Amino acid sequence: MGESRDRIRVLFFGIIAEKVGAKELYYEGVADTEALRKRVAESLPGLEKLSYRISVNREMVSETLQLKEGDEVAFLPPFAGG
Amino acid sequence: MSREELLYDGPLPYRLVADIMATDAAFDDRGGVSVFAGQVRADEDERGKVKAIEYSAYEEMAGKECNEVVEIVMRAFPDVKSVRVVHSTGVVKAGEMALLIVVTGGHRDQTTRACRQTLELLKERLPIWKREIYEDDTHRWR
Repeated sequence: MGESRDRIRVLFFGIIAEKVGAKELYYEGVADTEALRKRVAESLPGLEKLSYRISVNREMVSETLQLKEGDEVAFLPPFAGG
Repeated sequence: MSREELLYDGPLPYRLVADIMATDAAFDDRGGVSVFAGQVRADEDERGKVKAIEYSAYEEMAGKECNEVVEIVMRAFPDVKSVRVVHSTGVVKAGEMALLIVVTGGHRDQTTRACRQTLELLKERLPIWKREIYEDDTHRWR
């Protein structure tokens, strides 16, 4: 199976956005959320030490999810509203 | 709840409490109105004193999560007639208001408990982050 060419929109928030140096990036060639985590970690060493969760299309996900063209993935540090 | 209703750029003005009450509470079946206002506190630690907090939000998701919180609360407390939430984005100085919850209902018991539950669920579920800004302009994410 070849690498996916789908473009995935990835949003970063809070301390992760600050460390990545961007609030939004596009990734290609990531088949699922696990592959995306690895790709992001390549440009952000130390990501694994940060506490965060992932949402896909504004729904929290806890297991690895397949990604497709047009998906919106967000890296969410612990919430701190209020 | 739309992004426009939930999120407010900057500190929340006190008149919002009156505005929301005038809209949501002015009915003859509302025996109780419970209000929670969250303000920025000038905490002090080894780095100094917090002078402000900068809030940022995943705006599209925040509206959806807030709607779900309101649905949960209204299901749990059938006496409650309305739940309104407004949260700041951007910089809010110490002593200023950053969160407002206004719950109206028939009676005090469910109205006050619903207000508290709304607050706890929002803290758990609203995709909002805060960056504390110290007097020397350094910052720390919370």
